[in-house]
Amino acid sequence: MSDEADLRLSVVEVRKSYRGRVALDGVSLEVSAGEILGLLGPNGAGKTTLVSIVAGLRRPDAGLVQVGPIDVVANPRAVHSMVGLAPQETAVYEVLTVRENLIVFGELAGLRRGPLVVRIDEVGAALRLGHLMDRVAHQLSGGERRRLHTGIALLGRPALLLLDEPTVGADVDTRAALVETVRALAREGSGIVYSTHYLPEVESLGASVVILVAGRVIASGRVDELIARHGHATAELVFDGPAPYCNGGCESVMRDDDVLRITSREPAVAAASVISRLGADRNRLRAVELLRPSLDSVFLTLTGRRYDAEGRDGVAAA
Amino acid sequence: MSLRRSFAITRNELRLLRRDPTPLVILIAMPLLIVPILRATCRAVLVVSGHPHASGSDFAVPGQAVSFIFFLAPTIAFTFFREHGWRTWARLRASCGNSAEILLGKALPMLAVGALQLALLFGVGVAVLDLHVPGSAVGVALLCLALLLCVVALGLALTAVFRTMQQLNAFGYLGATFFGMLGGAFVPLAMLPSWARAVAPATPQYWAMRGLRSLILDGKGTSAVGLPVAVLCGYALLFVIIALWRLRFDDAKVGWA
Repeated sequence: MSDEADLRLSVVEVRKSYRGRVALDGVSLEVSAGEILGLLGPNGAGKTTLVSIVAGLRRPDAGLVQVGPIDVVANPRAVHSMVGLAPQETAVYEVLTVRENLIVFGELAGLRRGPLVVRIDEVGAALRLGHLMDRVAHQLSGGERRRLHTGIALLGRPALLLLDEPTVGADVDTRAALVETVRALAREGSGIVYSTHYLPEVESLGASVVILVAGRVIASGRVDELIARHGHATAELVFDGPAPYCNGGCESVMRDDDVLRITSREPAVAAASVISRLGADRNRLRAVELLRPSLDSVFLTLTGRRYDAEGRDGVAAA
Repeated sequence: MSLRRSFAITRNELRLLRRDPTPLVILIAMPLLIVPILRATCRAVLVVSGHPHASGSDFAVPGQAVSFIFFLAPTIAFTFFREHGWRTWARLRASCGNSAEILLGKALPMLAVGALQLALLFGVGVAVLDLHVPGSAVGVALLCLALLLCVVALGLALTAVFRTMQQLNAFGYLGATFFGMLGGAFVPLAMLPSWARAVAPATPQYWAMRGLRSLILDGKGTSAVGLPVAVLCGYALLFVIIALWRLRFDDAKVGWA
């Protein structure tokens, strides 16, 4: 349990439904000062709904949300000065320049004159926008626009930063700039909620993680702890056509359409053993893939299927 | 509520207007081009209806002013739909402590635009188009202020009621044209059929024209616009009630479809 003085965000048993469809089903999490929380889950898991509720844009049906000392449910408008939000879809004034976009949101964050100019320059430098300040937003590339979009959220030095899919469509340079900026903000004491369906990014951030599936938290904790607890090495055998049924010794084998998935401490040895018993089906074997323990394998262990960012359901059978 | 945040939004709206002043230019220039075309016809009608010394501009200028000021209402609503189109709406809401800050921030520049529109039209009318205003100047100012409040409130109501830009465009601009005609702003009321003259008082345009006619054609004092000003303020209040009743800041609107 985190020290209350360091707590940037506390979410307790939040529920939200839209016209009978459950978006969030009893979600609880905490973010401390200086902590990066990776909010993971496929499309439709409820990540954006949760971010909207924390930002005070939507009301939950039940539960408690606190940003610092402020009860967001009771007083949604009061969090605006504490929260920096970069929504999922790029949100900039297309006909204004980069500088003008930063000016309007800097002013809304309470900055004026000298401090506003200084802060705009700082954000511009951090996100490699310095040479683009006088360019109109609709002339920016996708990555440049994404950097501007994220930069707007940083202007007020928020105590809590909400980044919803910040690197979607971003190039390598943009990803690197955004990730480094996030790390720097955490070092300065901001709490950061980093919503993404791109697992390797969260692993590289060294973040703590909450995994959301269908509105529920199925796992939470530090990345290394989750992998140690739930992540297993896996071998995947991919076949032309439906995967064959396993003949004997198949306790750790799952059949998933054209894939046989083998979970083992030594997946290469286990895969060799299964292959040796395939018989004629061996001729249909197209590929063998070894997966190291990772968040992907954590997801597989907890849900029985590979992580699919689009949220498509897989079939699991032995 | 923070006026500083409202003013930040106002400054941003003015930046956006500066980037593309075309709508504003058209709103001001178009009536100035129409008045010379209509003047002679309006003069003929006014002479026949008991104003032998009318110049024609004494109907055409206020008529075009009232007609075109109502085109500002869908323009105001557009500034909200534009935020949804650019996806800046959620960001704006998250940045502001109070929805009223956004409403005020967006309304203020449009009040200024409307005041400029009316001032230019009447100013050019007096200077160049042979418009004479024998009645109370204070009455003209009060009536114009009430008219502006009515139009801005209508813009907020349109924002609340319509969900897509297509709906806004269809009703906002065609509605302004239709009700302007019905209220006697395009052609003198005397030229309309009897059924139209009977329903005209249901439109705010009718009351604006009635007030301006009493000041410009009849040369009356401030007290003569008391009732039109009150009715226009009543319309403004009605539109504000509609806006507050229907406006949901977390509703999605279709910006560009």
